[in-house]
Formats: sequence, structure tokens, C-alpha cells
Amino acid sequence: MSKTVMLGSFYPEDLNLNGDQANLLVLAKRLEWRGVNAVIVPLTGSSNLEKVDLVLLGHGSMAAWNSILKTDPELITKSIDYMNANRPLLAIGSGYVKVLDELGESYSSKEHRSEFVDVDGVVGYVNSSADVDLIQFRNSSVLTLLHGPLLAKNPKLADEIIRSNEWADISMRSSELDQVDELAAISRRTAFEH
Amino acid sequence: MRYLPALLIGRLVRFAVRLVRPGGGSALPGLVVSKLAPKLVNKALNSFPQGLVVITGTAGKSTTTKMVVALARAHGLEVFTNPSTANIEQGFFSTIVRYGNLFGRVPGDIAIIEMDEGHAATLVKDVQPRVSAILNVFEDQLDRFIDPALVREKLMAVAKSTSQKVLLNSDDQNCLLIAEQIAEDRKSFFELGESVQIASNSKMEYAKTYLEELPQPTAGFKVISLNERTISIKVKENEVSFELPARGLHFALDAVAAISVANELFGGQLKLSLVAEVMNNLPPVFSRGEIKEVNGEQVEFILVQNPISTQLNLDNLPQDIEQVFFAIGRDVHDPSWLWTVDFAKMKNVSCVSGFNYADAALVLAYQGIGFKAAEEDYFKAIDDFLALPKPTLGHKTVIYSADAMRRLRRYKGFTDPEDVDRV
Repeated sequence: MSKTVMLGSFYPEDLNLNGDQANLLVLAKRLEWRGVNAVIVPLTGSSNLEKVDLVLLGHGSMAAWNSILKTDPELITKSIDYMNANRPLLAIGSGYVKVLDELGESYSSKEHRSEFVDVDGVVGYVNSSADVDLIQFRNSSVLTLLHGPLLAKNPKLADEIIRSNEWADISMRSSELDQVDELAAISRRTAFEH
Repeated sequence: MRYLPALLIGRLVRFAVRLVRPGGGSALPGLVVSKLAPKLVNKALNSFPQGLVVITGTAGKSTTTKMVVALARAHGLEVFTNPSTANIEQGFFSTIVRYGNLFGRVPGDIAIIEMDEGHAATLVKDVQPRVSAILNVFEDQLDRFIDPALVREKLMAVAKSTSQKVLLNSDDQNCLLIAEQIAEDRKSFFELGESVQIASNSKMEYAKTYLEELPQPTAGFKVISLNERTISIKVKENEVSFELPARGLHFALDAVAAISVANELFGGQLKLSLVAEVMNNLPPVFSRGEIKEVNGEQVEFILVQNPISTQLNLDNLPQDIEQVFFAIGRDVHDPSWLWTVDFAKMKNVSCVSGFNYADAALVLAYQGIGFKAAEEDYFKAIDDFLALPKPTLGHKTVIYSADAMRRLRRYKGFTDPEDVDRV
């Protein structure tokens, strides 16, 4: 094993309302199953982002965001700078909405949705009234309103992040990867059978 | 007479459902009657001479309600209550179809009911509880409630509408925020306390408020000690000890909450010796640590409904557990919350099944928890699990969500939800 991939996460205790931190576990395990070490690093706005290979901005409650942004007002700007430097930011749910707010990209509200959706083959859960693109790919970053363990349900998206950042050869397969990918396919199907 | 046609139709529906599905028939009659006579529940709940007691909050409603009902009955009250599966609006209608007369009147001195926190806020617009207990706020059902602060608002509505006394969990900052809005003489507190949580190596992770911590008021009702199932509780200046119906910190919280409600109902008339006797003999609510004989061997059934109940139940699993069946059913609309649970203590999983079996198995696989099979066919999964040789230590353990529980119980012919024995 050579390089260790450092997966950074802002306020993992607080921005995990729907299991959003699982996305880093999924990336770490998919790297491990391909023989690449990965560690998950908790971050705050004062952390040095140079050291991390990806940053997750998860989904938090209204009260969590109020508290975090009060003590760490530069957090979202810092995330955007990271994205603009062509480094991979994964912004989920309200984390994504905060990025749009900071960028001044206006959007309206519509009737609240709480349901599974399929966006060009990516299946995830939306629980929001923000009328925004459900997934955006900007530079190396993924911004999405689809909350929770999105990469567990969508291993192709997880592997695309791994491939585009050249962390591992995604053509490598293992029995563990075969098992979880088969389960993910069933999970995507049953999402629409409720 | 106004409700007679609706109730007649409701009874016919219930009769028809139970013809085709023995033991079933809880939801559909309620749905029909709720459309035909939407004010029926309000009328019925307003009609009890000693009023209405509401037990609400994220977790522990069923067990706490069952305890309060048992304590009230032992002290001589005739009690109307809802079965533990009927805590949402349709369930109330179904319960009244079942127990009420054809005029919508339900016998009893007092109604003691558990209420889903979402529906409770709606119901209290028309029905004023005399006493309410607000157990806790956890991060749960966010596909429905979106944000824990919105759950707190709903519970606030219940507290504000309560006429005599609100009993609140003083360990939970959410409850203390609610308490700020309630006059001194209309609130009392119960608590589990930090030392008991530390001693049991488990912790109640209430939803964080992210506000400056409110000072914890002195609770009149407090768990003094908990050792396995043996519990001692301070009841004002006195103390009572007994055996809980099942192990776990959450049952201790349910017990202290229930005793605080009973004390409010009976005041100086509450007999602590009778409290101990009732609690010592109370069977668990079904699937809350229930042990049942199936195919000639004992099987433990554990219901998990949200991240906290799942985590607390996992924390309490025996170290040497040998055979686990894990099923997450259709009731879990968005299985994302499973990823907030640490499954490290779930060992030796024989089978993962239920409608959301793929999501449940994915969590286990990524968390490095082995499982022998992930089976789509739920009834085959049940049969295969129950056919396994008896474990050498302990018993088989079934951990399942509400829909998986209902389907298993129906499949195995456990038709009466109240048919639960104490071990």
C-alpha cells in the first residue's frame, strides 16, 4: 500500500442527521477493498484543508447550522474555495443549500418533497422544499440535495469519485465489492416499491 | 345517534377483515370511520369523567403507557387505553370501533393513551389532556418531521394544552425548553440521571438543541440505581424498588415516567407497595424484550423503531449472542437512519431480511458486521432462521422493525398483541 487517502469531514457529529457521514465510510471501504488505505479526518473551519483529499459537508438540523456558523462563520467560504481550487467537495442536503446561499445563487421554494428520486440513474432521498438541481457536478465536486448514504446506494458514483481522483484502479474487483454492489442494485429498485 | 351509521359500518368492516385475516383488522375500520365521522375521537376522548392522560415523545410511549394503565387499574380506576400498535389517528378510530358502543361512548373512568408526537399536536387542538408526559425528543422519522426542532414544537403544543400537570424528562434539554413555557404549578420532572447511565455503559443521546444548556431542575422522581433489571426509584420523599419487565436503560426511563404520572393521578393515595407489586408482575409490551416459545424453543423479540431504540437495544445484547435475525420492513420509509447506528455489538447475524433487507445488509457490510444470508423472501427467512439448531448459549434473537414484526407475528399466528408473558 502506498498513499493513504485522507477523507475530511466538517463537524461529523453534527452534520450527520440522515447518516450523511456514511458516504466517507463507503469511500474508505471501497478503497480498502482495492488495497488502498483511507482514513476519515474530522475537520473544523480552522483545519488545514491542504492535507485532505476530499471534504464532506453533510446535512445538519437547523439548530446545528445556527450553532456551527455562529462559531465558524468562514466554514462555507472555505468549502467553496476548496471546490474552486478543483478539489473534491461533497456537499449533501443542507450542506449543499448553504453553499448555494453563500454563492448568492438564488432559488425558490416549492412544495416540500419527502421521497426517493432517480436523477439520471442516481437514486437518493430528497426531503426538502428547496427548488434546486438535485445533483450538480462542479469542477471535481459533487453537490446534491439527496441526503444520507448516497454513495452506498450508488456505487458507480462512489467509484467515479475514486477514479477521477486517481486514488485506485476501479477495475479491481473483490468479493466484498460484488456483494455490496449487488445489494445496492436491490436497494435502488426497492426505493420505488414503497 | 349521530355516529351510529359510521360505527355500524366500521364494525362490519372490522368483522370482514378479521374473517380473512384473523388477528388483523386494526387499521382499515379506523380509516373508514375517520372519513365518515371525523369528530368521533374528540367526542370519545372528551367524555371520560376523570379526563385524559397523554403519553407522548419520540421513544418509550408504549411501555410507559402500559405501566401507567396497570398502576391506575391497580388503584381502582376503570381505564380506557389504546393498544400499542394504535397510537396514530386511524388507530384511535379503530380502538373506538372495537371498544365503544354504537353511540361512540367508551366505558371507563379515565383515558390513558399513547400518542404519536405528530398526531398529538393536531388532536390537542380539540381535546384537552388533564395530565401529559413528554418523554423525550430524539432524532427520528426525519422523513416525516424534517428537523428535531419541529418535533419539539409539536410536543410544546401538547404541554401547553394540558390542564393539570405536565410531567417532563429533566435529562432532556428539549423537555427543559418546553418546560420554560409552562407555569411552575403545572409541571413536574422525572429523570434517569447521569450516574445510572454511566453505570450501565449506555447513554440516552437526546436531540441536541445547540442552545446554552438550561440548568437541570430537581426531579421529584428519579432513578436511584439500576442493576440489570433491578431498579430503585425516588418518589418524592420515598423510594420504591422492583424488577423491570425487560433489561435496558430505556425501560428504566419508562418506569420513572410512569410512576410520576401515577403519582399525579393519585397523589397521597399512591401506594408504593402496590406500585412494586404491579411493576414486578408487568409483562413487557410485545417485542420489547419479549421472550416467546416458538417451535419448542425460546426466542427473544426486539422491536427497533428509530436510531435510539436500535442503539440502546444493541448496547444491551448479550456478549455471547449466537444467532440473530435482523429484519427492516416497509415501515422504514427512508432507511438512511440505519447508518447513524453503530452495529458493532450485533454479532453472529444469521440472516438479514424484510422489505429493506438490502439497505440493512449494506449497512452491516460497510460496518464490517458479517451476516450469513440476506434473504428477500421474508417468510422463507423466518422459517430458515427458526429451523437453525438451538444455540448452545442463550436463545435465538429477532431484531426487527414494526412492519417486519407485524408480518412475522401474523405468519406465526401470534394474533393477540397483548399476549406477552413475563420471563
